Amino acid sequence: MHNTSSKLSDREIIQRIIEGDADAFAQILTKYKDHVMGIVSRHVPYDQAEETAHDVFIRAYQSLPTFKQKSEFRHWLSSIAVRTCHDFWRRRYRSKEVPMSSLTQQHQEWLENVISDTSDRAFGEHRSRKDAREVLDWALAKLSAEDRMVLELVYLEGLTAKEAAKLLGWTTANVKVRSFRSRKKLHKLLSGPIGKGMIQ
Amino acid sequence: MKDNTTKIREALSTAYREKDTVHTGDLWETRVMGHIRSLGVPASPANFSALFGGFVWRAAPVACLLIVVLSVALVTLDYTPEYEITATFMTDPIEGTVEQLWRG
Repeated sequence: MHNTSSKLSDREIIQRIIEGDADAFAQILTKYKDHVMGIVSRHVPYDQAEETAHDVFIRAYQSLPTFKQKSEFRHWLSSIAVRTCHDFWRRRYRSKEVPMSSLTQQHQEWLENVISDTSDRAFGEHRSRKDAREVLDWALAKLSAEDRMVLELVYLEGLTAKEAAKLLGWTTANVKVRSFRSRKKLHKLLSGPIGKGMIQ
Repeated sequence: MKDNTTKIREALSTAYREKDTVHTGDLWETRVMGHIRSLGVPASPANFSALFGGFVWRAAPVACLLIVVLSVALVTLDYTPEYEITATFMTDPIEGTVEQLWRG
């Protein structure tokens, strides 16, 4: 029974769920949990990833009747995952739960090292994962939820404005404007600790 | 040679991509499925055009019937609303009309 049902396509599984077979959703969960967790882990803090992924699948389940069979389920689910992460940050910022840490001397040195290095090899050696992550978290915490999401998708992941717009459910023009502004804000934030004019 | 913004971007992008992915266990999956089962069948969204369409077609026979009844009533009762309105303003409405009232 399980072998037969595991061969069903996404569309067939969705049809079964809509007809009342909630257990069929387990196949969707097993198939896409790593994909969703990959998206969520990049956008929300480590300790919040499981809970956010949980929300993603609940939202996906409730929205299944609105899923248009013409589009790919994986993309549709990715869009729900990104929007759930956006909602997570909106809630966080609203309740002022975002930690406002400050940059230490070590972080400033990391920034200076990144900028001063001229060779790619040396640049690679200087890259400290922990310092880089902390500098990034510090800068992102000072942006709005919208700026944060756009910056992560376009600036850090390298998606096009059109792709990011599709995931966030915004217009491409909106993403382009926000992307430009948030990048400026980020550079301004980072140029503070290491001296103005270093990052333009 | 790379400019400063490119260097910063590359360093931050690498840090972002190298962020650890959380791996879920069976317990998490069981918890999600338990929540899913408690929700029941996902509800279809309300289709407003279909609802409106149904309402319009249900009201159509009543509207037709009402038109017929009012038409018959107007013909048989010989009701002259203009006369009634004029009568409320003029003592002798026989030769008067609403148009004359407005003209003064």
